[in-house]
Amino acid sequence: MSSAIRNIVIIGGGSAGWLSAGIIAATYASAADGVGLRVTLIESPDIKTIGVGEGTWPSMRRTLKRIGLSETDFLRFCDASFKQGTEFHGWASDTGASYTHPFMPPTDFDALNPVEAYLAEYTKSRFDQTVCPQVALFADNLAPKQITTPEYAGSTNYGYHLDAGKFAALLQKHCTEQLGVTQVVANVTAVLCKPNGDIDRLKTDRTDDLNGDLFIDCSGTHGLLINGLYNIGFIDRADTLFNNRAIAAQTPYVDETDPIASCTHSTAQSAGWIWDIGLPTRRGTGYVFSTQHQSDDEAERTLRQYIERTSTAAIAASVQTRAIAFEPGHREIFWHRNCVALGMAAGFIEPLEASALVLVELGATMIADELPADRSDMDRVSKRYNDRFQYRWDQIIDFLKLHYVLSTRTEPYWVDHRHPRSIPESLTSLLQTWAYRPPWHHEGYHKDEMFPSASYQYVLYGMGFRPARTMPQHRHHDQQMASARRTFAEVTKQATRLRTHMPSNRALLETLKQHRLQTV
Amino acid sequence: MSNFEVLDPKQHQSLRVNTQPGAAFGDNVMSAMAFPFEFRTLQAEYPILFRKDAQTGQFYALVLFGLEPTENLYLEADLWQARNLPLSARRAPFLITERKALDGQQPPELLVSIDLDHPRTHHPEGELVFNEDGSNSALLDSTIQCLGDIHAGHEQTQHYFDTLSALNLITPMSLEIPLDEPLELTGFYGIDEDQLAALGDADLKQLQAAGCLEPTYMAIASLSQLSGLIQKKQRRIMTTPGR
Repeated sequence: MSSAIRNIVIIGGGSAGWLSAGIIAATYASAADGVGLRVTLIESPDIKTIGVGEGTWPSMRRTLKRIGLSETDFLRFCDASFKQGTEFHGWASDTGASYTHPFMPPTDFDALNPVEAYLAEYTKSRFDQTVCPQVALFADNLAPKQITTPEYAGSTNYGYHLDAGKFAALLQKHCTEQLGVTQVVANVTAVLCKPNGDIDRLKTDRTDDLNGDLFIDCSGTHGLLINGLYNIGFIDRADTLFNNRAIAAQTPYVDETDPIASCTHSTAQSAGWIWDIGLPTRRGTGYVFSTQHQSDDEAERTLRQYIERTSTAAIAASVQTRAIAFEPGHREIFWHRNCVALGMAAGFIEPLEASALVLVELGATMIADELPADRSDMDRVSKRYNDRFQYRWDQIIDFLKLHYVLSTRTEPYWVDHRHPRSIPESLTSLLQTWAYRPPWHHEGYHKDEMFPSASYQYVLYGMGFRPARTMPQHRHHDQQMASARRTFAEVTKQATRLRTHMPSNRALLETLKQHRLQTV
Repeated sequence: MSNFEVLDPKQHQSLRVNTQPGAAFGDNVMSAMAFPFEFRTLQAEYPILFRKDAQTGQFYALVLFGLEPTENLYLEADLWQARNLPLSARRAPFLITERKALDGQQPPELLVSIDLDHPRTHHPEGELVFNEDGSNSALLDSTIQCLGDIHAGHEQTQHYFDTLSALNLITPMSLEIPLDEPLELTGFYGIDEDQLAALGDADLKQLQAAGCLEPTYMAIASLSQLSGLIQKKQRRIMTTPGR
């Protein structure tokens, strides 16, 4: 009996399921051609996906292009706008300055580490504004591109803010109409295994059995296969990142022509932080917090106060809120036998730095690119997969934790976040290194790090981190300083140029209702 | 700036418009819009390139008259040194405007307007727009013809570039002009000749059936006019006083 991998079955019709279906189906010829891969997605008619607003990384542009979607269609259909980074308010201290983590690295970052020059001469200015021209677009809600810029290209680096429910619907349409993905609407009633323990097929309440060679579990937190069938352990990370509840609200604009923000706004609160993302038709807002440190009622009051401050009292009083409980953590392994978990089934950590969708992109892309030809190849691939994604989860957790440990806020929540026992050893070690040497290109050891060293720099020096010990002066110190001054002057010029030429997000998205972006 | 009024025989009875070429009349422009049905005649004189409209991002074609803003190398004093002009360069000071039907059902009405502040308008050496009896002058009749063709040209442009884009036949072109002080022209596009050569039978047939094959080859052929344009530029640099 052949054990070639030709049949992929995906369970779950949320954005994780359809995104994986799209990435995998776009990689291989369709089974209809006789030589390709069959991709089937089964989704329950009874579980409705929820249209929360979500942020993506710039990687989503590459992903959408790979899937074969037009950017114009995507923007129109998904109520999407452009995201160029995150602006943090009140994180370093409740009175302190804001800082950003833009998607672009500092100018000339390949050749110049800007930290030394910044700390020597520029600390009266913000680090992000000194080293990166993109930040200048945020204040006026400007777009990363013009109407004449081709699809998926930009003058600055960008991802998206989107309505996840609409995104899943667009992917579903594209996958079934263009990519030959078979959609089955039914509930899984039983999972049947082979003698060796692999999944053989799924029984459903309204179709024939679904046979598969590889099963992708996108069924959400309960993890129908990874947890329900295989009982793979869950690593609870609440000891490091305490947030375990979110209260979300869709906040209408006061006026439908209100500006659409260029970045996610993240505002620290006494027991967590509030996200605020701008979609064309509304804002997505929510408070993610720790139930150890605050009650739901208090948290809801906090969110409504924020909405009142950034909108109107009437809107703040009338928005509907929805509480979402989650357990921060992830599976011990993600790929077991012939089953891979993606999305919430693999794990979930608070939405800081928007790591949810990007992990689905990375996971599905690796599954597609390293798809085993035969069952006998699979255990080797799954080991690589598990190693890589364990590393990635650890990296994400370290990077998120970094945002908390640098704070000087004094509420119990923030003090607890700085407790040494809550800080992973790997992060402690990095912080000890950064105490005398700023992050630089040698930080990562893997080919595809989740976060480049630029990201660590933006958070560290945005939050006011200063080295504790000095290094001997560089031999070419003077030349390096001169070169940094030239680069920083160029940043200012680039910033002015960008501000002059970029339209507002609102204006560009209005134009895009009438006209399409070109492919070249 | 501009001051457009819909033409009216009573109101504009003695209005004269000068149609002679000249820098004073705003002919010192680097380029003018061209429509695919004109490519055949224009390619014998000018390089035809594509560009994106800054407001809409949509492609249009243009012929190049010069290599720098406000430079028209075909214009020598009041003579236009070419046998053919694109329609769009013969339009000013007239413009076609649409008036939407009140019920919104009928197609919009097309009206001829004139820019009263254009240097060609009210010119003593110009031709009358209306005859004494209020009928259209020969100038106005040919203008109406020209404006009608331009209107059709805009629709053809959209159809042409939609077809080309769908077949990935458009590619960015950066023009490096070899002068003593080299110029680089950016923001232009042209036909992707490799992609065109690789088109399958079905796509090629579609291109032809859509009426887009001939203008595409005409646009490719027109690029040989670039060297002529560069020669004109070199000659002008040589004869510039003070050099």
